Amino acid sequence: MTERELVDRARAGDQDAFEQLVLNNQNRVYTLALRMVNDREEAADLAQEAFLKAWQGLPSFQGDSSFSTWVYRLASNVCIDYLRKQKRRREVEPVLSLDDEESGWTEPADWDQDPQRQLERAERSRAVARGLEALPDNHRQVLALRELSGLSYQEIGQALELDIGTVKSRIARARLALRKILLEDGNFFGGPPSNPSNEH
Amino acid sequence: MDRCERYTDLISARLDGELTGEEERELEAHLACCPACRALESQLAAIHTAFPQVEETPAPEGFAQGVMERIRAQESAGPKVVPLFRRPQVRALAGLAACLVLCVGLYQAGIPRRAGDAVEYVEYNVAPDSAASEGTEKLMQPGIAVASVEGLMTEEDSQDAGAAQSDAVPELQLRSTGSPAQYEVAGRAVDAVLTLTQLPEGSEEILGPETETLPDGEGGTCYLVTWEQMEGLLALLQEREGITSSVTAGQKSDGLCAVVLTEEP
Repeated sequence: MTERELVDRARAGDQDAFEQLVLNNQNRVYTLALRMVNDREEAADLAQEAFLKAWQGLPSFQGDSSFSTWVYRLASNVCIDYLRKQKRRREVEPVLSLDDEESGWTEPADWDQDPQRQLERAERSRAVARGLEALPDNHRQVLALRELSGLSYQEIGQALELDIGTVKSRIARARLALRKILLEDGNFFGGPPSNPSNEH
Repeated sequence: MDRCERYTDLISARLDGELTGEEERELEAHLACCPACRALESQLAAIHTAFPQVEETPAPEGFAQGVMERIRAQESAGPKVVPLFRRPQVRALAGLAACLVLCVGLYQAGIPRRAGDAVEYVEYNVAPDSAASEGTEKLMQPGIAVASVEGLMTEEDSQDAGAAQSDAVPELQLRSTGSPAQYEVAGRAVDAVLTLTQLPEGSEEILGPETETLPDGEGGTCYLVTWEQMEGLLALLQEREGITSSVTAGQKSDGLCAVVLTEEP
């Protein structure tokens, strides 16, 4: 059944169809929330809230975009709201959690290419995930909004109440910080740094 | 290096398609002559392209069931229609309304009422002079009813009222309001309260021997009268001068009124 058909059924009140939509999108939405808040329980709660909002908003969902794009945007908003509340509550300190061994990052699903390359890709993907987790909150959030949510600088600025110049430089700083972590990690760029560009 | 720092922002922004044409040309020119920035660009690009592969982190087990349970819980709690008083907007509004009522109550209790504002009260002053404020000050003492406080007139108010009434014979109308406004005087609920510094001549006939009197706790006397008796007293007050009085009236229900006599200082 296509996404469109599932949406139509769900809109007519078919909960099974909606559950299928949840299953089809849950990993992306959960990942986004996890990148944004860096807390598994909180991320699961926020991701569920995003789907709940999707269910409630189905009658007004016009179908201009795909359901997955829409629910992803809802999740972004839910997370942004959460972060704003957090920000008001306190200045969040960077949370470092590198207990990845038991976290079970997924392997890429398309296992059709050269297994060696796939292994490398998987390792690089894990390295980026670890690097993201190690980033300070403000860096991780802008990168998540940019790279995962696909928000423009202007949209990120609106979401986080920053001017575009700040968004631009913060994203650049976040990338530099991530690059530094990945260079130290050694699994992303293939070995410890020996590059003069490291001076950047 | 300082110069390169600016290009870091541009390299990053180019990955996101956020460069202007001019910036693009500027960056190209710099990259053509800066190997360090070229190396940086390729590394940042590698990270950028790795992101889509990092995207999928499996949701915890039972995630979708959890969503459906939340939906079902919500549906059973209120199938499509959330009960009016459970809606957060209504709850917020109710809270706001309660605050408003409280504020209005505090305002009315704490601020002397202007005669012109009063919808449910009529304030009446036969002899608007300095005695008015002296008389009312006495009423502010504890033990005197809420109504007395509500009926208080400031000196300014009484002068205003006096100015308005000086040319014409003051007319008193006891207006009824939609809300059952009742007052309490010396522990008794009444519909209207008349406070005055002395009883006008002829009031004995109106009050009669059966009129119930209560001490108001401050040396004054409180008569419990009927609505008609109070109107009679008001008629007498219009013919007399030198008696300071004020009336606070709410909706007429059982017609019991209080006449509070405050002694002249």
